[in-house]
Amino acid sequence: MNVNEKDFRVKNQIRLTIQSRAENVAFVRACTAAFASQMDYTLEEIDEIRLAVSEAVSNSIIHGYKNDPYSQVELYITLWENGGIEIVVEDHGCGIADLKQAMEPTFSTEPGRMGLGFAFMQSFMDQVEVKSRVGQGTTVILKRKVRQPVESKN
Amino acid sequence: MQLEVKPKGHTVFVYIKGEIDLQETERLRQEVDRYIDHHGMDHLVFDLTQVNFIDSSGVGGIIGRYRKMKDIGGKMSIVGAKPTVEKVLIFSGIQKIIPLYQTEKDRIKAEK
Repeated sequence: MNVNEKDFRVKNQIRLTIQSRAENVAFVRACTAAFASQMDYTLEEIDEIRLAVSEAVSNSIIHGYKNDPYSQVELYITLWENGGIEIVVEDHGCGIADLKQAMEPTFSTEPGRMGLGFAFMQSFMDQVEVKSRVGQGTTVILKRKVRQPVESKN
Repeated sequence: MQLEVKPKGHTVFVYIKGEIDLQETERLRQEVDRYIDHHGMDHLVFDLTQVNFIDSSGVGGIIGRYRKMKDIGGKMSIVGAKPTVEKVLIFSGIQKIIPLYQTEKDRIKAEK
């Protein structure tokens, strides 16, 4: 594949702001899946993207906002011309004090929770980037390429 | 998510249809726990044949019910997980504590 300037062009982009309610996670998943299907992802890849976004938004609601339903989670989803999706999930919640610890599988601050969210994101996406500041919030950036870039759908 | 709890002898089947996520896990927890508390049972079977999505919240919900069953001396099994759901279950390591079966027939055969 030749890397040229065209590859870094935005093909399409959406921005979505939701109230931090558990019932909105299904909506975000459906929305992300519908948007991602503009690219040549397989159904299996779409399922994995749905899973990753579900984990990121659930984390913002449970951990970032401690289940306060009146806060907002923002999503910026970009489809790139070179065949990739980038999903930015941002909250303005409590932030994560120890990122390294938070990203360890089976670590959870909440009793009864699995602590598998980040592990799922990391396994099912190509790249997971987390930026967090205590008291200011957390931004998770999820990236996934289309496995075999072909002519994009119209 | 649709949820149906059906007893057959000492085994109780939980039939789930749809997606098991953060929102639905809470309902799953409440309804299944209420049933366990009121009726008691030896064996709890989660039938996931009609589940098309599960995330870590859902996996946590199922493991929570397993722990509850273990506390009362019962056991638990999962049947019918589709490949996409099974992948998430296996990734979480759930099969190390709860047996997974393709079909109800397989479960009966294995647990006889």
